[in-house]
Amino acid sequence: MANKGLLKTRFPFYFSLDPMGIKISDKIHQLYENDKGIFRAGEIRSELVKLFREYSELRKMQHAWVDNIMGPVFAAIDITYRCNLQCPYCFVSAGKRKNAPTISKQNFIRIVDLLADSGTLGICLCGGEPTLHPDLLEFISYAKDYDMTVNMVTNGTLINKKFANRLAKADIDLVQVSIDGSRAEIMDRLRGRGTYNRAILALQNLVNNGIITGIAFSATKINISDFPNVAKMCAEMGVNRIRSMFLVPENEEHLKLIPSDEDYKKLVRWIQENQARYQSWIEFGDPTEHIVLGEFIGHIMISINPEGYILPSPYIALAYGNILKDDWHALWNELQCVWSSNPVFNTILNHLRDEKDFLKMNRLSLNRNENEEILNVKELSSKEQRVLANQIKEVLNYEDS
Amino acid sequence: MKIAEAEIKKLAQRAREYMARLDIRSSRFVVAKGLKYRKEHDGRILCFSPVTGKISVLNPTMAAIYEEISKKPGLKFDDIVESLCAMYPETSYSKISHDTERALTWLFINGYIKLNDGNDEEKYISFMEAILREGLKNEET
Repeated sequence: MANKGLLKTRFPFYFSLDPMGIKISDKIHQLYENDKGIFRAGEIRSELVKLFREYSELRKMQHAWVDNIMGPVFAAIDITYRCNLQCPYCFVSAGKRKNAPTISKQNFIRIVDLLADSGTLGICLCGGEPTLHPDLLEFISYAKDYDMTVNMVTNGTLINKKFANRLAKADIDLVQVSIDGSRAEIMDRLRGRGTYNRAILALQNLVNNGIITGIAFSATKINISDFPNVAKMCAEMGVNRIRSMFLVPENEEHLKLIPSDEDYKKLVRWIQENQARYQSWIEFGDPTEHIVLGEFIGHIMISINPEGYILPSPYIALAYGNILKDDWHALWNELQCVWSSNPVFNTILNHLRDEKDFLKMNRLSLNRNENEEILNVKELSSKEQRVLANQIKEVLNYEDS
Repeated sequence: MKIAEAEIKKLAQRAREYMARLDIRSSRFVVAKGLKYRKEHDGRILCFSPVTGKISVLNPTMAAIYEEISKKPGLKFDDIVESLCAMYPETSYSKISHDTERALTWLFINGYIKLNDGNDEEKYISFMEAILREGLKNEET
């Protein structure tokens, strides 16, 4: 079934179906032709930036670009860092934390009020494991009262029939469940015994309740060749979106799990050649894209942690301001250009090359393990920001020397 | 040839065939369901599709057309031109009419609006539905 529209590009979200949009997206598609072995944004940074600049300038002239907007279009809110699993590749180390921060009802309401006031059209409830939050259903209903789209990312292990029905009644828009294999022996090896059966049951319960579903497949050396089976199985179950991406390592141990580039290429090629067969939308993402293209699209979506800190990238433990403590409208004006004008974030934008570089940031203790307090760049002096920027530059370029 | 590319080429051909026959000026319009949008302070509309994740911006003129259709489902081309002429009295009718035709075509192709092209009195179709219908017609002939 052909259900993918006419754009072949990896960036269908930003380009319109008009001669200029198609021209630029075709050029980007050519850059990413998998036969050339290129598939990371950082590898074609200058060409990508040039094309996005050309397109955004044209759209600005037409007064139709996402510059100077009222607020983020979408916000991912980590409502808790508690988790009932201990997945080895969790980039927020949820589950291993003894004192995981969790958002209060009062703070959640305040955040949603502020986002709604600046026109935010949707939120995603993330974590940790959001189903562990006792006020989850109330949170969904509260945001829905603002007519926001409400999505959720979950491991699915706690979504039984009754809970799926309650999610449907709360009118949740989309639930993404983590599925890392087509059989229990594959997924349970990664996420723990019993996780596969519970996650599949969750998907069935969600689909049966008419909820739009997606799955996230964390590709590792152990399971990457199983992706086609997962895609086929989930498409047959009626899952709407099937997504995988480069694995983001959080510590040195995780490097052992990272698939080879050859394996990634096979996966991407399989998607290119087979996605038209399925009704489900199948995609492969690059977790560095929003950073490499940060000056154009970095502000469209923001992440907020349980304490209200704004994370310009969910994969980096650096905050810029706090929605609960700062003047939100003033903060938003700064956030819109944080990737281009702030020395720390601009250094990351210019020097981060691939997903393994997130790990290098850990050498500066920029991770989200327990007891690591998040660093709020906004609170640093100009001098401190320059020093940090230089340290980041050094650590990101370390292996080059 | 890769299956996906073959499908895309087939779709593109059907789209071209449909667009060649499409008469925007004789059509009626409704906004597509399921899109979330907001109006910016300067009149632009920022639109988000929860299903595809697509985010796009309509300039103030496109936004005015979209809002007009949103308020009055089933609006005809001439009605839209008339209300735009009232909004921009300094601009000639022929320019507004030409620009409206282009704008409606863009809104239709990009999934913001559905249209009734006279094939079925009751049914409003999206661009993708129109292409699929085109495919079915081809198979029948």
